[in-house]
Amino acid sequence: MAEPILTLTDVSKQYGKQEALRHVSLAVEPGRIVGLLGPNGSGKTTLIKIVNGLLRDYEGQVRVCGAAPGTETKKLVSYLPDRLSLSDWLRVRETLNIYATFFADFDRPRAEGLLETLGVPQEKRIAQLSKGMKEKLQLTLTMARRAKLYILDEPIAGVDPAAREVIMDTILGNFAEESAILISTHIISDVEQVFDDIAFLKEGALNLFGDAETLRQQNGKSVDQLFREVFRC
Amino acid sequence: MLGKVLRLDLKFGWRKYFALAAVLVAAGLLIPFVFDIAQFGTSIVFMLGLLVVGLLCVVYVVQHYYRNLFGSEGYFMFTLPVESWQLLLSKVLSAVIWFNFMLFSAGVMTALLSRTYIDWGGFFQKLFSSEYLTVLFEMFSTANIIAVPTLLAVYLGLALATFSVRGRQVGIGIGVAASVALSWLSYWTVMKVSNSETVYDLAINAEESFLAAHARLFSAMGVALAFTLVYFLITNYLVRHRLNLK
Repeated sequence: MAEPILTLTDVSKQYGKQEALRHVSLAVEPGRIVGLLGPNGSGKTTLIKIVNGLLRDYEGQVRVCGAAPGTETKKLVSYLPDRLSLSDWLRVRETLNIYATFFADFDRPRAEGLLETLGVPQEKRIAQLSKGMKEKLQLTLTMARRAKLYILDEPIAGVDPAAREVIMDTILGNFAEESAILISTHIISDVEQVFDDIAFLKEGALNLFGDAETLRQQNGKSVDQLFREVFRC
Repeated sequence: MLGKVLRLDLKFGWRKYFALAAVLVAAGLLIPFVFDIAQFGTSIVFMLGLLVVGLLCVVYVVQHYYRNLFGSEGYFMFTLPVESWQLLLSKVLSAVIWFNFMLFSAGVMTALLSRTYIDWGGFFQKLFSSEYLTVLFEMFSTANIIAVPTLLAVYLGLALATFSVRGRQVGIGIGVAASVALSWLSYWTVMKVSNSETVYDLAINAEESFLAAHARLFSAMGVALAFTLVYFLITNYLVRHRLNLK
């Protein structure tokens, strides 16, 4: 079995008295697409921030290709945040320059091809783009890196079903077998077919983790149905 | 990598600061057509200009620091393969560069305001003499001695505001209190060590070419540097170990 790209061992995080993550352990292997599923406030974004080094004050152990989150792991992880993280006065072309400057694995021709396919104009400023276009731009920048691990936080939230399909096609068409993808979402029905593994987070704890197909067969239900069962109020 | 981050930080700010500098130069060019500067006194106009520019500079610097590291842009900046001290140092260096650029622009504005009273031939002759270059160095140094530790105190206060507690309102209170207290502490120590009552006093003393006055300026510089370093190290520690983007 290949070495996991990402391992979390007994990871916990508290905000004051509130527990955001409780003893979470999981491993993501190369070539796998993992769905990190849970309702709002279940700890998905907290977990993603820890792996990306955006939250430093946590308990437990996190390893990305054997290293703790830091400068070295940032060279290996390509992250799509759940918000616009680029200054909106930048032109699309300038964002490509910035990525090419900082990330040695950034594939500029691939990014330019993706922008053309997705219809994102390079000469416009980000502020002039629609919400969907901004999401496509950030997705392009993320997927145009030859990273080991792609972490996508709610990549399809807030976009229409047609755009969702394009976004999922972009994700699937641009990742190599030696890489892995962790996708956080609470919209499952449209994307569940792409997941190799699923992880359910409930109130900060890992409720369920395993091979998506096995879980479907064992329970006789789709991932979406399982999700509704687990998270029913 | 520090060079790359610094270029990015300068790129983020140049439009605002060049616009501000253009306003100052335009003010220097146009105001004498509207008002008789001799009535108000160039030094008063200079001080007012400096105050406005200083305030705007602080707003821009603080806004950029907060947005770029602890706001939405932090999600990009902190995922760059760059050490936290490089991100912070880049913010400090870019702020110092812009601050001095604005100081220079305010100087140009004053020269333009006083253009009818200046003997330009003599002015340029003197400007490039070692005596005037020393005075310029001393004036810029004095301004930086006060501004840089204050800037670092504000950076530290903002970091505390962001990381200290989950409740942002309490955090902001802590951050503002820390910024004010630390700024005052560095200012008070600089003044005490340099044996000066006010900034004006420090600058005027420094203008004298006596060795004792220069020693005073250099001791103030040493203290300012020490405070800058301590505040920088604490801020970097907080960013490295307590980063908590909302």
